[in-house]
Amino acid sequence: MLRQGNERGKLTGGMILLTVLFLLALVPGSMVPRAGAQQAGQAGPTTWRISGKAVDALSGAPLGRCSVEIEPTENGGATRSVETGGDGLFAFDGVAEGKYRLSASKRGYLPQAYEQHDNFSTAIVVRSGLESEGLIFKVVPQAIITGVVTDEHGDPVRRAQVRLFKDEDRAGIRSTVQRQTAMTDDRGVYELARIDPGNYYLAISGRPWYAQNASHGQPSEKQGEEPASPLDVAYATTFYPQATNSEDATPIPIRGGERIQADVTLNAQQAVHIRIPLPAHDQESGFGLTVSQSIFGQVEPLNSFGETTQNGVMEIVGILPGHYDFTLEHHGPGGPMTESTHFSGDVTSNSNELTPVDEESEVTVTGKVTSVDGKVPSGGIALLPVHQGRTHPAMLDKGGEFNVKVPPGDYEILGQIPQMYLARLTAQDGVVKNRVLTVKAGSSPKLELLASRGFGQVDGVVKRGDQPASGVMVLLAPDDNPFLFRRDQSDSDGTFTLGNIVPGRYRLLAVERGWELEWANRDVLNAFLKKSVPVEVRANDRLTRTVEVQSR
Amino acid sequence: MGLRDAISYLSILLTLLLLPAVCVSQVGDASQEDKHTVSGQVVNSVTGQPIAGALVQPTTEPAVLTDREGQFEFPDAVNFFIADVSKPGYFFERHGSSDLTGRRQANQPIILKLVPEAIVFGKVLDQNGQPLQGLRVQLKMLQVRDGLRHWEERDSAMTNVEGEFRFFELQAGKYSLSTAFQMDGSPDAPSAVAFAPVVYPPSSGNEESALNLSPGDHLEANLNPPSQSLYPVAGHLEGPAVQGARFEAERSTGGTISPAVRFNRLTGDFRLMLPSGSYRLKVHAFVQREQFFATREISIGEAPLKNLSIALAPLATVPVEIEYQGNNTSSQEAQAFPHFFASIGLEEADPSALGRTFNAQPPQTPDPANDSRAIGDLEPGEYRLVSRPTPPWYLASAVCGSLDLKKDAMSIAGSAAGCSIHAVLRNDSATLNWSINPNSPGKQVFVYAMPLDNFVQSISMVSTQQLGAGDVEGGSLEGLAPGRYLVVALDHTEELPYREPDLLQRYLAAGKEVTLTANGKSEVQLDVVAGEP
Repeated sequence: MLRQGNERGKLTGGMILLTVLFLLALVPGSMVPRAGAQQAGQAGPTTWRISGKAVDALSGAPLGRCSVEIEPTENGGATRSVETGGDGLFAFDGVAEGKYRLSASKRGYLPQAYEQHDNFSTAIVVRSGLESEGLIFKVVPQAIITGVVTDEHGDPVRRAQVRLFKDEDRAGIRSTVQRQTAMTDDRGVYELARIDPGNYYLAISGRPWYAQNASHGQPSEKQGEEPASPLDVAYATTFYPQATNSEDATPIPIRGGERIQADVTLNAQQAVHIRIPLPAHDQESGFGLTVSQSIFGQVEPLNSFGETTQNGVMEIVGILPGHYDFTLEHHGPGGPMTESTHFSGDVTSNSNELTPVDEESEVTVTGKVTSVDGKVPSGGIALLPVHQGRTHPAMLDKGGEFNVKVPPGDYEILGQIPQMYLARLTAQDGVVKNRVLTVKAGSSPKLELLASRGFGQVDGVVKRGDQPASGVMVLLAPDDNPFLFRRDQSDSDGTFTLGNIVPGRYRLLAVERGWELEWANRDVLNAFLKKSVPVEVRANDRLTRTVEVQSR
Repeated sequence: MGLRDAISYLSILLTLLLLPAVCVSQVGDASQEDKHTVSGQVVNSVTGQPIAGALVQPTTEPAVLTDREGQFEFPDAVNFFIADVSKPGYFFERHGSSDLTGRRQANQPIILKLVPEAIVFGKVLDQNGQPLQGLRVQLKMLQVRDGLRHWEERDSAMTNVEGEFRFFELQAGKYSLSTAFQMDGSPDAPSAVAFAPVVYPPSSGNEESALNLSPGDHLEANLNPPSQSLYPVAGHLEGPAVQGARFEAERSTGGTISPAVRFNRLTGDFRLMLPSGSYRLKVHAFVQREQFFATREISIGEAPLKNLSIALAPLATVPVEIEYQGNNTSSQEAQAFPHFFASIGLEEADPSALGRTFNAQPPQTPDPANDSRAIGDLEPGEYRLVSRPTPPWYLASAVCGSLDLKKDAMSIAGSAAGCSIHAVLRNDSATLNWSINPNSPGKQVFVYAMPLDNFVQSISMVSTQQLGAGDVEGGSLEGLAPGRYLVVALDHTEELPYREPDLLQRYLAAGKEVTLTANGKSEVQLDVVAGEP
């Protein structure tokens, strides 16, 4: 079962979010849960029982004082909640036929659904012929990463920012996203709690408390280079254990319940000064500068640098040698920002001068989106770099046209048009293959995109022999592109639902314990294709398929 | 920017302006001075021990770090003045005994003192000694603002996995800690439980039992919030259909709980969960842009409370008429009609309230002949008048019905105030000329005039440049309302509790009392008080 919406927030936000949700919750009608016997006059039982035992996922020990809830997944209905005794047992009597999300929460554990993996879990179905009793609910304890941040002299670094990144799947593509932040205290100590299983990285940044980055006096033309001040220093953003580049960061694998000590040393290094001559009109009408750096493939603005402007030259201080992206925003006379110049450069330890001109290599991609129903679509599109870099969005104008400037490279084209998908993508002066546009320097690609309505849906059952297979990863893998994957986890009756499917040819497969597979990798996937079910989805199709479970 | 913001901003501005002023004064006579070496030492103000690796930042020289013995040296210094000294875990003692110039005692090393931070740390454990993770702990500090003592939030933190919290970089002062009300598990559980708020020290909230932190103190405080069963309180909001409602429960024993609430805006039904006890339930609701409010005293035994009917009513509005009496025709600026500068408002005076100020707003289309305004959105409670007219204007009188608002607080019950405020502003304010007695060398001086029998008038402050030996300094404070004042000269800035009669006692001997008359000029000669009186 896929749980959409705020599931992720709920996992990290914990009890506070729960309280807020509760405050906002609007419950029409009775607030007392409706339960118990119904329609007593009919023959045979009309209600069922969901029962089981909550145990610690690591030790297997029963979990007492654990709050267990069931919530119907369809047709609304009230949430019911019980608390386990010392033996970890829970039971809900008088449950009406239907499908229920089973979840648990306990202090020291993550709020979680039954057999939860990422945003998927196994829902419990009650009806004749299905077992909903004697469930073992393995509740995964929170993991903790804690440590001390010190400087090169071994002194604690106060108020250093510690960021936790996690490897996540984004429709089949691995990306590393920020999940939590913490701040060190007077002892340099930080703690990140409520961590769920996965692959994590730590990034630590700060500014030496004694740093003196301001430039002294005039630019050095007259008396040559002034000697570098020993206090003109900065800390590089440092990735656990001691890397200064996110690509060299060491992953911290979390299986659940660990307590990991991760100490980091920040080494002060000589900072550099970059001088940027400003175009004449900016000196009058105002400007804004953003300095950005790439972290785990995401370009993000730096917040610890200073700038001064004198005689039409902006000086950036307090940064270290490295590769940076710069965005200079030009303000219109008395108005908001009118346009911006992007440029990038390698800053070295020899004092530098950079000129704010648009990258010569930037290419303007233009295009038009039409729709099958003849109406002009509204919304936007986005160019997402296949390797790394920031997403380049573009809004559609009244005629459905757009233009966007991007550096050369390969981009996935994403449609951001409500209720529609991109059915056909073609390009002049450029190549589109498998939804990827290759942008060459000096070209002027023109895209023609066709938007269409009618996402498909595939429902079905996972079987092991003639029995339904519960808690299995179900994957719909596109035949000819690397993006349009859909996933689900089978519920206790073996059922699954894959929605919002862009029409096309797919392979449907079900893999036991498939959650740890790198399933978007074709080499990994190929091993499972033999026992897969080919599916062709057309617009508005609602298909039903049965698939046999495979073991790893 | 509210009235209070403006005032405190002003005083910050004043403080900031002082330092450059000192430097400027030395630029003048520096040309006659030779370059000389300035050296000194940075020490811990409590232990006297040298502090290595402290950053010493003069105004005209690049900063340096002190060596292992806490020593620093600036060869060939000119116009030397210390702007800042810093080190994590310390505050710079800018005033008082530190000499910030290397000028006066050219051959003597200067001693700079850093005041160590205080730290409060501890654990929050349940009644079984198990750590409570993710519980909010709030740190409040007793501070004087606008002449009154207030408990103000200084910081807050979430407990970690071990239930630990830690507050650092604390100035010396009086503090108290409290934990937030927090659900333990689901509010839908058949036996819903919450951790009740606790305060530390147990009966804090009054000054005597507060945590008294001195510089360098590391104090451990452990809190044990009791686990309490929750009982449902269900009822209905009567009145207009509201967009949303916010519920707060003030405990009769102190503290406020924000309970988990289910509110159905279509029917007006609500249900919330509270531990047993006596509360004043407060409800804030919105209809379009208008605020509605209700209070209800409730008492919860060991059973659910049902069918509570709470009637919403609009918040009170008090009309304000301002009369200007221009009795001073001597100066140009006194002629200016100060329509939009005469801010006037009501400040919450209940000890449990936040001390918010509600300003009088002019109507959409102001009448040029009359200054008629209204103060809106007032919850039931006690209020004090605040007014900070631009000098030379001052508040001469303010009444609401038979209440003299220069002396008495006004209380608002329900949606109607029962009276309207009539305020008289005059511009025949008084001038106070002050001078400092000789023999108070080497110090910057801060002169305060504290109104003694008028709690609407605010304090006035002016500062001098650093005094040389034998210098006689003097100046004047203008635009003061006629009345009695206590005037003191201090060697440091301080938020003075001039509206707290009991606290003012200890300043009486340190200053001089003067009575100012309309259009009058009074003289006062002062001795500088060293340190806090």
